[in-house]
Amino acid sequence: MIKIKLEDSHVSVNDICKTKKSILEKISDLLSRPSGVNRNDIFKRLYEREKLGSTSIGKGVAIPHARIDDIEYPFLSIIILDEPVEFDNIDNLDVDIIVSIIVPEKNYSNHLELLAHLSSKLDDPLVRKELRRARNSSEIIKSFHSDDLEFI
Amino acid sequence: MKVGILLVTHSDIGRQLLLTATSVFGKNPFQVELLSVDNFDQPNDVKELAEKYVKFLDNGSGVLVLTDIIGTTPSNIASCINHERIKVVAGLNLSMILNVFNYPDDSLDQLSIKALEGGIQGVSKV
Repeated sequence: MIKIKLEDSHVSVNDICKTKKSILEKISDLLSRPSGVNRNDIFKRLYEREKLGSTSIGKGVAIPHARIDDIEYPFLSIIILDEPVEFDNIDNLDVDIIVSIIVPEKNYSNHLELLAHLSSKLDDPLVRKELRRARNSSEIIKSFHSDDLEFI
Repeated sequence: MKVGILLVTHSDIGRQLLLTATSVFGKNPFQVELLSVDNFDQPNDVKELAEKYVKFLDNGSGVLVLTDIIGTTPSNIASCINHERIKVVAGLNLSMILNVFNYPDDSLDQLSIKALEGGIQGVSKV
């Protein structure tokens, strides 16, 4: 079981971000308060990671991720866009499902398990459909319930 | 779907090569992750991490693992990764990454040959 923090306030549905940068800023805003980490620090880490290569995993999905000091658990944030946005995507589908995680610097073995879990979950067309149809944050969060994750 | 790429290198070499290649090429067309190996790392821990990275990166098309100098800890770890669809090429240089970037739709087998060719072409008397 991987412990994660995911609450209503970490989720944005019908979002209207228009650029990759504004998406990363939005994630930083959503996660700053619950994690207690400065938004600029979160943004910087996510941005540095994107510079190495897009975290798009194809089919309209991206998983921006970064390691951060001073947090104890992984924090998850989810943004569903009304209109897909160019995300340096690895295929020709722009991105409209963004599932972002920040994880403790120290324990990145867990981080990888979480990434693997999320990418295989989001590979399921039914899950993507469910997320695109969701109208509020609780429907989104419900889609992420699984035996592998413990919401704390 | 595309092949995923994992760079397993000494300290920060992988990051710097990847940043430079991305800047020269204009973009990085692959899903890439980095694994840096330092003197104080335990090879078994790193191997376990490498396997998790590979699992994450493999969307069915396999993973190309590029590592720096052959016979050292990073390449030894890379060669022990237990995974079905994987190719490992050592001797990482900028020319190798750039050549790979040119063939984002190649299969794992083809791409591993492009990596090898790119790496070899990058070494010559000027």
